[in-house]
Amino acid sequence: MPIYLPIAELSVDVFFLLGIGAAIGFISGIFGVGGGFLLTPMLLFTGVPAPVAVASVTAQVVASSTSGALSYYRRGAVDEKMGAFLVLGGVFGSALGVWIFGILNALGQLDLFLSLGYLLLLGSIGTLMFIESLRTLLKRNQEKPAVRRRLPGQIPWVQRLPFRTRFRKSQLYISVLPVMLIGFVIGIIGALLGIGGGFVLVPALVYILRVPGKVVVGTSLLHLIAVMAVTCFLHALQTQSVDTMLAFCLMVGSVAGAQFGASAGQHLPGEQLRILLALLILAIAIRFALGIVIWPDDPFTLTKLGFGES
Amino acid sequence: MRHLFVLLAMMVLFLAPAAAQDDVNVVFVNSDPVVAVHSNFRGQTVTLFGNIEPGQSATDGPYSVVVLVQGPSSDWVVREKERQGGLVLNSASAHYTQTPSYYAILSSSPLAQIVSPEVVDKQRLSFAGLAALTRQGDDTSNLDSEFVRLMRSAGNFIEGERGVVMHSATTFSARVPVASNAVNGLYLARALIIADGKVVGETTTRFTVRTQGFERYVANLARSNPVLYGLATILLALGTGWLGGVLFKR
Repeated sequence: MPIYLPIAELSVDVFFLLGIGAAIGFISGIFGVGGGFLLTPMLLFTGVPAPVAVASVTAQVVASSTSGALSYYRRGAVDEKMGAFLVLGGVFGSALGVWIFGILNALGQLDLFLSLGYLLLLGSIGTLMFIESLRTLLKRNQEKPAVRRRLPGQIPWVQRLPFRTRFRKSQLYISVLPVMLIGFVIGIIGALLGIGGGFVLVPALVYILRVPGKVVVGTSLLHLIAVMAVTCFLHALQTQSVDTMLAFCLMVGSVAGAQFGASAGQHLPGEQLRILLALLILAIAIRFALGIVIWPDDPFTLTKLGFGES
Repeated sequence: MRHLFVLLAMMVLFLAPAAAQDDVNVVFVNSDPVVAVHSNFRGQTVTLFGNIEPGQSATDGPYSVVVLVQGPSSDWVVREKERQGGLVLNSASAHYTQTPSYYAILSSSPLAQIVSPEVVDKQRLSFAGLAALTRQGDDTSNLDSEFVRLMRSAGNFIEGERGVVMHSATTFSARVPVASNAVNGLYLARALIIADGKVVGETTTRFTVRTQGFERYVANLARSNPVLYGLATILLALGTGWLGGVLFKR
């Protein structure tokens, strides 16, 4: 059943959209990741124009983060104060990201930038994940007692920064500057690439700020909802490329898929799946690499200029 | 529908004498004054009918007919990819402003056989001429042919050497394909009656392409009220996420 996407100006099968939404929701449910970093590339490969893909996925990230954040909130596993400072930085980052996005689009280099950005991001994350899970698998096969990794103490330069305040739920007394800076950087990446950035934010909070594990996911989800909502709004204002029909189909698919993924994840062998996810991420990275190296069939492209472009 | 048809025919009849320099009168009407684009729209054909009525000083013919259909204008950019440092990236670009997003040239015989190059230029019967006319700046004229090629393959520029069918010496019809990605707005169809290589009569009719239903509303809201559109999208996302969380409580 084809559905007309009014902003993408494209007819796509509605079950295809629900399907990729559900598949990526399922994956994100298993691994507890947002899924934007898989969804945006899928849309780009489908032929959805790059501005529409990036802008519409922001709305999908809001939806998929909301159901998760609610359950963390009910358990009190959200540090609202830290979330507020993250979001404050994130909003500025998002505004800067949307602004750069508009410039790249007008210059005609948006596709190249997205390809390079995703290649770098997915390539490094895929490689790290692959090595990490391979190591864990090998260790388990050797039946060695698991070495408990201890987090080293506080990072000195983070401790010396001014404007320190107490984050009670995280049991931290640190400066607000690194918190806002992390939010700012994730905000830029999110607005430019159409990802939530949870898989970058969570490690940053854990390794740089030493946010304890029990609040880190809930707090990062809070940040994702707020910053992605602002990014979606800014994209709707500036590039006018948010396709609500597209976003809604993806949301419905992914929200449902995520629930099944979450319950399936408890019964499936985690490390083997993690290797598969790493391979999937690497495959997408390679697809982007080929796209910017291989000479295209048609070196000429035609674009209709929309609102606000010149 | 039928009433509208008659009304249009009457309007055309009424308006036709205004073109006093024409040697022949033409009646020109269409099958679908409003083409509605639905969400599952896969394209449609609008049929235009015409009748040539030779006047007192009429050229006897035989008549040939050219039908031009022009859709709403848009701005376009053609970009050329280039390899730089191993990477394929966009380099040269040509901008075309206020170029019709739909331009069909349909004729009853190949154009070269029925009109002179001067008429082709004057009446804008070539895509290359249209590209040259709307291009910004002269230094990118080498991309004109690529622009025309891409517009053709996108279904925006359509050429039909036998697109106009002569049913008799004086009656003709033209089938105008409207693709699913057609731009909303007014489409102007112009019929040129040609005899001995000269344009002896001319008239126009028009039809409207409208995307209908929810999609049209969404697209219009996104353009006309982006603040409300953005807020509505965010609320929809929050609502869907919340509902998902409630329905499948973890």
